[in-house]
Amino acid sequence: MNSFPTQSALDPAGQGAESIAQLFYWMSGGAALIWCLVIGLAVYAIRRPQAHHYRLTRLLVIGGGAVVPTVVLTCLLSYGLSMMPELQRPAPEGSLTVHVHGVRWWWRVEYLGPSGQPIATANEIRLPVDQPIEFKLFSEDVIHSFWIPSLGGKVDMIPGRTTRLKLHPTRVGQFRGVCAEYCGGAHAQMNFDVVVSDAATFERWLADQSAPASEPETDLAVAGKAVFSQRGCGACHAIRGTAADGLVGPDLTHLGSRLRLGASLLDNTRQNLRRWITQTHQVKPKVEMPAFEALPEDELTALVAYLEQLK
Amino acid sequence: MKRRLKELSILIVCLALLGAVVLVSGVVPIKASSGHWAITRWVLDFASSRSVSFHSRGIQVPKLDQPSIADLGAATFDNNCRWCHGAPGIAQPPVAAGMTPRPPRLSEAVQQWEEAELFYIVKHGIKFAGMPAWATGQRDDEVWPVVAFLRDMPSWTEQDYRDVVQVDPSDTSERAVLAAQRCAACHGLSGGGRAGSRVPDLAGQHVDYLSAALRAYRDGKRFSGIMQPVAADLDDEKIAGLAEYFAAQPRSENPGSETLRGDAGREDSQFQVGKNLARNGDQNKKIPSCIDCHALQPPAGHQDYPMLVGLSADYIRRQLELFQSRSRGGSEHANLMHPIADKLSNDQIEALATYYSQVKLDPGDPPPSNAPED
Repeated sequence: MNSFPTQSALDPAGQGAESIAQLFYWMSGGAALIWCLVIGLAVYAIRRPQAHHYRLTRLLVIGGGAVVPTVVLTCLLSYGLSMMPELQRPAPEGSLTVHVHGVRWWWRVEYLGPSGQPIATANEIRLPVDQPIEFKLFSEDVIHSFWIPSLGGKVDMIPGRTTRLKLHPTRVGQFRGVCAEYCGGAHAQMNFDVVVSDAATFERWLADQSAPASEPETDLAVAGKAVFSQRGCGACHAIRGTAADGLVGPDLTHLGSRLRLGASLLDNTRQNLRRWITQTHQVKPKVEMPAFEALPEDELTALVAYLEQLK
Repeated sequence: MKRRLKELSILIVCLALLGAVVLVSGVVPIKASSGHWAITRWVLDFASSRSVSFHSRGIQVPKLDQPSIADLGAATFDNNCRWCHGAPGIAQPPVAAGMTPRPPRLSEAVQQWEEAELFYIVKHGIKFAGMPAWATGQRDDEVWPVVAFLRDMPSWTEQDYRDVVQVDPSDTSERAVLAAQRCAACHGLSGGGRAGSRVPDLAGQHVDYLSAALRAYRDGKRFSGIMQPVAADLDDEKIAGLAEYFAAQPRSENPGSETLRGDAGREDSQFQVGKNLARNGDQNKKIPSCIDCHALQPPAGHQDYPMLVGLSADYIRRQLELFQSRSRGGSEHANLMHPIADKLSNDQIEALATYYSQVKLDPGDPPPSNAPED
């Protein structure tokens, strides 16, 4: 039904993920080598008919049991630690900064506009390629963990604290981010889409996002705007440029431009949008949004038409 | 010893056989016309009195001194109880007089019961006595006005009773007559209520909301031992007529002088807390604002959602508490309120009830912006 982009730490597309993948390959290779060696020695020890040479066995026990592991682990630790400064270093001053709030069970995303005004979106993060990006991470309820496996490591989002992460994408593409800390009922459906593009495309997108919502043009969409307002959708959702200013749920100003719905759960199609509004809890059990099961058909059609054109 | 046991066994078997013959033959009359033997009546009365006394232990009696609470009880009584028990100054209907046991004349009978015991009897009914249970098990709050009425009943005259339960229609149109018969004892002819703060003000309420509420009562989807019997036999046409009748009544204004313009200076903290919550919600607790659905001023807000301005604090508080305990039920839109009510603290409920029951808009005021103020 839905096709999702890659979500693998072994398919790196960012500097952090590359280092981590490299460390993983070195460790896996080393572990395989040591395993073969140990098993080989064990087979040799069983098969050899005569008694083992006393001095040689002692050397093997001390050397292979204490010295070699110490040396190997020290090397691995040094190698691992040597990556830390770069992974931990904040992005240089003036880099793009993105604020991400973990909320059960979705992601509030805020970019800072040219004049410092926040540009809100949700469940979708777009990034320019080949430049460092600083993430400030928050939680609005319980501990979440922010992880884009293809781009870098994961960092916990802790209520009452700000944590941070730098990512540096190295190739364009679509990726998937997840919540990597169990946070309650719909944890497994708390995901987000990541789109890495060239700088110009990104800037165009950000400029589009910073604009208030477009006024509906068709009669149906105009009617949908009235439904949105009268049915109280604006109590939870904001649409910039309208009276809707709710902060409890995701900002919907440019919902029509997003790839997916419900925190990267359903492709953003008309049919899925209808399902999301009316069968919310079948689609995503435990979600906070109440299901508008009883919305009359004409209002639903108009509402969906309005939301779709919020590009 | 062994012989004794054998004789005893034979005796028990014979008695059981005799019992079975009596039971199966149908020789014992079940007829009500002859009443009970005195001894049977005494045993049954004693047993039921002991049972009520035992099971009503621990029932907390709320304060029953709200204004007009007994009027609400009287109107409920008139709709449901009068058919068997009669009423102050009104004789017991002859059909009920033929019952065994005969439904007691309550003006005298109530004096032997405590308030908690009356509550227990009204809520649960009495087996084999023809006394039915309350129409829903979810609304204990509705039983207390009846208890308040029963407690006061000995002092009520026929005129007192008729003044409360009988309302003459304002005109002879079909819906006005129906409203007078079905609704007006509690809600008043104008919808503004005459049976205390437990009864919602219907005047000027959204017509779609009123229809949906009546249909939900009729279909057993909104729980009320008062309203379900009233709505049970209303067809869609009558419901529409009643909804239009009350929606067309002029909405009474909140008393007091705190207009939207003037209330900024009000230091009443509960009002301010309610105002802030109603307009902005509480993002930390994920509570949405109220006014996006329950607008302060018509025509904003959907017809399916009730207007809250002008309802009593008592009514608003109770509805939120009923939503919390899932004891309210409601139309097909009621589920929207469940997650919201669950997140409200008692203080927040109190604040919202205060705000909506007191806020007053001047006709010239602009619709409130729900952006944070100050």
